[in-house]
Amino acid sequence: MDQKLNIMVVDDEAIVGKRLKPTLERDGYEVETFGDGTSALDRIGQKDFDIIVTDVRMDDVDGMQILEHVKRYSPRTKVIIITGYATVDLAREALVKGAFDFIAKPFKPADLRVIIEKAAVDLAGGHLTTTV
Amino acid sequence: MLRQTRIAVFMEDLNVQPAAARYAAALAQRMNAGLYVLLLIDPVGDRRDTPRRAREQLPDTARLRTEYRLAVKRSLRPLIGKRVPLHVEVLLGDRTSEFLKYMASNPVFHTAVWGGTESALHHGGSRGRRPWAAGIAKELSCPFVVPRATPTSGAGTSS
Repeated sequence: MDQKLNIMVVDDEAIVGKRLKPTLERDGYEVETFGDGTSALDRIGQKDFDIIVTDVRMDDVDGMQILEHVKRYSPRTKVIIITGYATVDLAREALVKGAFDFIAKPFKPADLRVIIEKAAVDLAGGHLTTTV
Repeated sequence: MLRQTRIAVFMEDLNVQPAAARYAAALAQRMNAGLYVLLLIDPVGDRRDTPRRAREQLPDTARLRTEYRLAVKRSLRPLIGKRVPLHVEVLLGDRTSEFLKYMASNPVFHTAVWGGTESALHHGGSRGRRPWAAGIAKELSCPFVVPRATPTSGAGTSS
């Protein structure tokens, strides 16, 4: 039986998690949303996530710190960076640090869903196994 | 080995502005440079369908890239002639994000030329969004040129 992929969404703009959660759940994923980096890191310590979508600029722990932490302790997890302050330098930093992808805000939910699909395929070793 | 000088042409659809193509080709010839065309296409757009439907409706991305690449070459060659080395890269996805990722992982350009309409740099963002192309210039470390067709020379520039 296919198991649902677990997705974490971290963004201090509540509307982002509020909009993405039902959309991604409809697509067949299990989704947890967090409004700050500290509580997200706490949860990462308790549970393995398949995909993490994180904003960069947050007050306590930023998205790059989450990316570094995740790549150190759970290299298989795909981290997708989203940011409203997108620059070439930030894109380079994210990709060098091992982000699966990088997307500038505002983005269309469909664009993020395609990236999540790609991550799901990658996690499955190139085969589509999503439970949609 | 010496690295070839690169002139970039950014396009957001297949309708390249002839003035831009001619300007970029003339510059590339003068500089003995290669022309690197970056076509940024967002095939998903505002679709609200499920990923499965999107997957079924989207053509194979490798095939899509090949088709776009051939179409760009077909539309540019008559404008730039046969002597300028032409490289075409097709980037699929959110245009701003794809542009930033490309620039993050590729060598710098001598000059970047906007191949679309001038109005696309100022208008065209949906729901009041700033058009993606408006953000290009500040992310480049090279001159960004917007050629204009003029009655006398065929191509003037603004940057």
